[in-house]
Amino acid sequence: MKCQQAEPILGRFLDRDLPAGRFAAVGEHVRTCERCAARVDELQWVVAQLKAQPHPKAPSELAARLHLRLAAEPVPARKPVFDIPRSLLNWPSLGLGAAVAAALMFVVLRSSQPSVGIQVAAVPVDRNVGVQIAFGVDRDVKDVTFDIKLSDGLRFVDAKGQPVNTQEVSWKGELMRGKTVVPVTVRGIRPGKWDILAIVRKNQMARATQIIVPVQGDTSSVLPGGEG
Amino acid sequence: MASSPEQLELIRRARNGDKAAFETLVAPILDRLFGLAVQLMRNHDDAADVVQEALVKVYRSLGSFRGDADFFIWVSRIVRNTVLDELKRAVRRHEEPTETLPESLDRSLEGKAEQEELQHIVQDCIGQLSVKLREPLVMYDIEGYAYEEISRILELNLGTVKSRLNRAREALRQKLIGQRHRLAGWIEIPDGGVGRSGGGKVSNEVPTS
Ligand SMILES: [Zn+2]
Repeated sequence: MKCQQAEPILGRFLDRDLPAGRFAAVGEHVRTCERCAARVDELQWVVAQLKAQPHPKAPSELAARLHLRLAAEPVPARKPVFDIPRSLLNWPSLGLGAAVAAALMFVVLRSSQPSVGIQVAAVPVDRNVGVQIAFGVDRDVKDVTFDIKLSDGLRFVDAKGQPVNTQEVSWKGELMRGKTVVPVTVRGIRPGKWDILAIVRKNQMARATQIIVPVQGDTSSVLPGGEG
Repeated sequence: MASSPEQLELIRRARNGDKAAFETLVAPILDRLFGLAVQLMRNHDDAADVVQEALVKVYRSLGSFRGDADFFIWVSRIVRNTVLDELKRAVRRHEEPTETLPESLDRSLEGKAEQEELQHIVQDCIGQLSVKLREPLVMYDIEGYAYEEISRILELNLGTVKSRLNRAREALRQKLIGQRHRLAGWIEIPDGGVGRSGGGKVSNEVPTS
């Protein structure tokens, strides 16, 4: 082994983080090369200095300040504890998007309730609509499958607010006791009476909620902040 | 490594708004989080602010914490990201970050003037490294995170973590050699470099096997 090959891995040699063969080869080189041996010594000294750096304690007022800050905090949002396909369920970015119709819907699924159909106020075509679908349960439920289907005239919207060619998204997760809100953004791509079907499944049981979204072709009633 | 059952129980309670549970949860890791922030920010006051800010974020996003993840690593990542945000903001404000770090680092070292001076010099040199190189260096060699943990916190693959660590150590070595005049009073420096003997305390056990 030559200096050129040894030098870049001297640090890993020090950490013994090399395959046995290479470790031995570097060791052999270091034994015979004064320059690399000196380099290893220096690196070892550097690492020893780093390990010897003192560890400061958090100032005692940090915990007290945190306590005060937390006092002002509401209960943490019950975000879904599953990996939502971020590209499709992009509620957090809605505030930044220009074209958002202010049609928010809450649909609470309760295990005792039959499927319900909810109709929301009509929204203009080609506008993003934020829909909050809330799943409410009275105890933690694990291994739940969520499924959201859009009918013909609706599309999911990506993180940039553009419609994507997807009309169904499903994922696995769990519901925590209380209300879990899943934010979804959709867009009506042509006029009609469309719907969002939200299904939550556990074993052989399922609850479905239908949200009817009338989409109007007439865009004269432009909403504040809208873009064409 | 996943979170312990005790941690998961505290997380569950904190998610329901039990703030005392949250404080109990973070109390044992406060010093380590603060240490990480200090090493990355090079300033005690800023580090305390950042850790507080990060922990409020942690509390708010408890709902999205995945139970199979390591809570400490998850929180470390939020602290590190908050540090980066703060450093960027400081650059926009044209602030010069940095007090000189070691003075208040550890009172227990009072009296060991030479060692303090050496720590001072080492900290100076770390402060001159780019954030990119500083991160893996302070996390691995000072704060004791494992490669895999660093890779998760920095969202870099293992190979990148190792090669940055290597480059960081090499850069630090060169900087420290550049500081020999400051070291010279009490570390014997042979011609080959620093630390062959004397205060540097280098043993030669390493490369023999
Ligand atoms: Zn060599």
